[in-house]
Amino acid sequence: MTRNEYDVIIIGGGIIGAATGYYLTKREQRVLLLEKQYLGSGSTGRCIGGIRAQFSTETTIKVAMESVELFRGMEDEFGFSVDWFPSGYLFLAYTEEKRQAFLKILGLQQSLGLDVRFVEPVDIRRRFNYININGVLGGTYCPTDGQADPFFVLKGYMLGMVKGGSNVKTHAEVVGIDHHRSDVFEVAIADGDKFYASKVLNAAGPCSKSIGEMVGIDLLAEPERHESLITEGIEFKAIPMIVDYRPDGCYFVQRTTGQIIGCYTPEVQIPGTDTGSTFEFLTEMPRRIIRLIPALESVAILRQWAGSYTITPDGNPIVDKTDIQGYYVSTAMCGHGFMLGPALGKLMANFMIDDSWPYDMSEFAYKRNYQRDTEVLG
Amino acid sequence: MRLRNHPILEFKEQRVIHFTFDGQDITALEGDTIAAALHAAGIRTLSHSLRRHHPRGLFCAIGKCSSCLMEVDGCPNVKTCLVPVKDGMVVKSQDGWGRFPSATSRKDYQRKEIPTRETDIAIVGAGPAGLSAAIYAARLGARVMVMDENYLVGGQLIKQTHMFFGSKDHYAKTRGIDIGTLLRQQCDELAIEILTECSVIGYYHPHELAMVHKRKLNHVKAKAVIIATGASENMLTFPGNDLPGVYGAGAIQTLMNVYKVKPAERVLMVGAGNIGVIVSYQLLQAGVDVVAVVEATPKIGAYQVHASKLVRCGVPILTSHSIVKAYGNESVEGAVVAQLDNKWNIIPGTERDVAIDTICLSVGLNPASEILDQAGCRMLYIPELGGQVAVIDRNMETSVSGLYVAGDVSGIEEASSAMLEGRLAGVAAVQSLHGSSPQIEKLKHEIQSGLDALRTGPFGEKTRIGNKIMTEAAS
Repeated sequence: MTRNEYDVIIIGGGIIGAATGYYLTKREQRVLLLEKQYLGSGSTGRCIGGIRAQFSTETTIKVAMESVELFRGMEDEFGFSVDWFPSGYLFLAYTEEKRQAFLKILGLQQSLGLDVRFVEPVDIRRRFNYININGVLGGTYCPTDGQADPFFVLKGYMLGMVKGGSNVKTHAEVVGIDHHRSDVFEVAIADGDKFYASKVLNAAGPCSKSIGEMVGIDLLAEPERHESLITEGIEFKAIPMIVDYRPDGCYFVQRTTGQIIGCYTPEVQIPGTDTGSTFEFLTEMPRRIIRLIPALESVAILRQWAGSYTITPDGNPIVDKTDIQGYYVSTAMCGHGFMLGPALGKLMANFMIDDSWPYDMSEFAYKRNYQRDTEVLG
Repeated sequence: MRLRNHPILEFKEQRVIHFTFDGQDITALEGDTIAAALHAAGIRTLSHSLRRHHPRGLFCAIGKCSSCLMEVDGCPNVKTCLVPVKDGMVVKSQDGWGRFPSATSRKDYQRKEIPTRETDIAIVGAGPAGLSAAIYAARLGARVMVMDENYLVGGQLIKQTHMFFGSKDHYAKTRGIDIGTLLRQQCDELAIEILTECSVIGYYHPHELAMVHKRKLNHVKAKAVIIATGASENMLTFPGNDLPGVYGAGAIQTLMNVYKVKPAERVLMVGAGNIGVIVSYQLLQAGVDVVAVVEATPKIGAYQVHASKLVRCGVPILTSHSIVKAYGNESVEGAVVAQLDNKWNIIPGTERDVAIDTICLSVGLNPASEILDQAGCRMLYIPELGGQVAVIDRNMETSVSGLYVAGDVSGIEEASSAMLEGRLAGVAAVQSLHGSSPQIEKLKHEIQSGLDALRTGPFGEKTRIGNKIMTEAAS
């Protein structure tokens, strides 16, 4: 193997590329990871670090539960803390319809072994006395859901890759993929360098569509803007990730370092990769937080920013091989890349070597019916 | 302890007021910030670090660092260096982060309307650059609004008791404090709106600002924006640099020249640039003993006339010397200084102990350019200009059309050039609103020539190099 030849080239230096690269390296593959900007500069470094297994479809719940296990073990695996903390996720229902939907999904989650329970307003009041339960008809709470620091997690995976003999190259924008020889991909970056491998993984998140087009693959993956903010730190109360499901709801959590960090899903999607901030979000998000926890009214906002959710029509990621032999995709995480990333990295690494999944992954298949037919907890 | 007499500062009658700090009654003077009143009462430890709970004192005194956070009237994480003290205020120290606030009694959440303020030109920062910009823009007929984080207007001028150099147009032979007053008067004559205790926390396209005025959010809509946020002081790395009693030179100036608090008994000054040498002299004027000025480079950076004045007073300026460490339990009790060789290494055996209670750092400034970065301006790291700066053209305009900069935020210089840059940005902003005219072209040409003239000679060298790097990068 010459200097520029690898077993696998991964495009994208976020959680998906890093985790997949890490587990490939552990299975003795020599990997090159190419990142356009700096590590985590796409969606991972802009995410708020929430991790949950409360999902509504079987595959996602299984993958997420596996991820939670991996997050738990990271301190031992990496030799440093990634600020994993099981702060739990609390989903709130404000309509009878939502309450029924939660109850229905609960059965599936519990049947897969997830420690999740239904909580009545009075339980919420007792356990989290700072939450304003006005209008709440109940919710679901999973104490094993949690949070971690995306930068520490990325660091752990990347250091592991490099230690295992793989390469990570930042500020290396992929400008072309040549596949004229069927057994090898030639990947060219902006400064003119070319790299060769028999397998390529597209883990480029918001840019994955254009990376797909380079080999003639059309991915139903479109980025849209999601805004976030973080407050200054305040006494740690282990506020869980509270997910308010009203149309003008939001979700936020207290970080172990004291700050409140959160987002809301805009009512009208804002497509594109613009990650600018808006005054509307700055005013609206605190209103929604204070409505749930009035005591936070006097806590100042430290920073706001935005990132991209890469979305598919049915709200599920695309994690699969493609029509082109050796070209794999793991992208369009629909806002769940950080939490699903560790398990998907491990699954995809094994799949790229063994060509088989340990359980049914057809929900995430490249070729599938992308129409949304079930309610997805998004 | 308060200053009782001073060769330059005037003492006006101030009302005595009372507040409590951790339950203890503190006597203050109306006009003090909370932090200044605590210093006057001999309290130097203002907070404790988050992880190791080390005591922390004032470092910047102008809202740029966060070592003075306290709970004020139930509100956590208040920068006590910015907030004026009020009769009956309840101030509590925080152990790390503030206490979780008690819930408000309100059951139902009420939506609050956010006030909108409209203006032609919004100016962030009421220092020499911001005020000059406001004056020149208002003179050309623009409606102007100036906002500043501090509650006193004038930026760093309000603590500069020394006389300025240069020509009459640059207020030569006038003291900084008096220039501040003059600029303020000119603003008042032009009926310029100046909002104090007002932090601009976000820029949104096109020319909208999020602004927090006395802890309430406001929405500002403008046609052009000038950022004149100044700079923050650099920290230096040495063991013990986080002890209360290690101050930025600006903080020392603020305490003694604005609030008339005697900041120390015996001081070690680190850095022999203009600020270090001038502040050392001001410390002597306040009756404080300056044991030495140490300067790591082999030569004194300050103007000869300032340095000579200090040496005549018996203060040694030790070039090729630096601080090795500071020590003390709750506060600085002493420091070790040593001589450096030409590779910046300590020469063994030259270490010596100095008995002091305060270390004053005057080791450069860093442009406060965060908002420009957030606004999406093209930024460059140019060490000669002090750090991250926005790329600008000859008219002080950034890569975002209608967004201008002036003063230290565009690159560290002196108040004289800040005022000229402010004028230029003010004129150029009006031009962006109303188009050009022979009067505007003439004004711009005059100011630009004035700036070029200020930057000739050895003291303008860094700025010349920095500006050249920027011009090359921009083209």
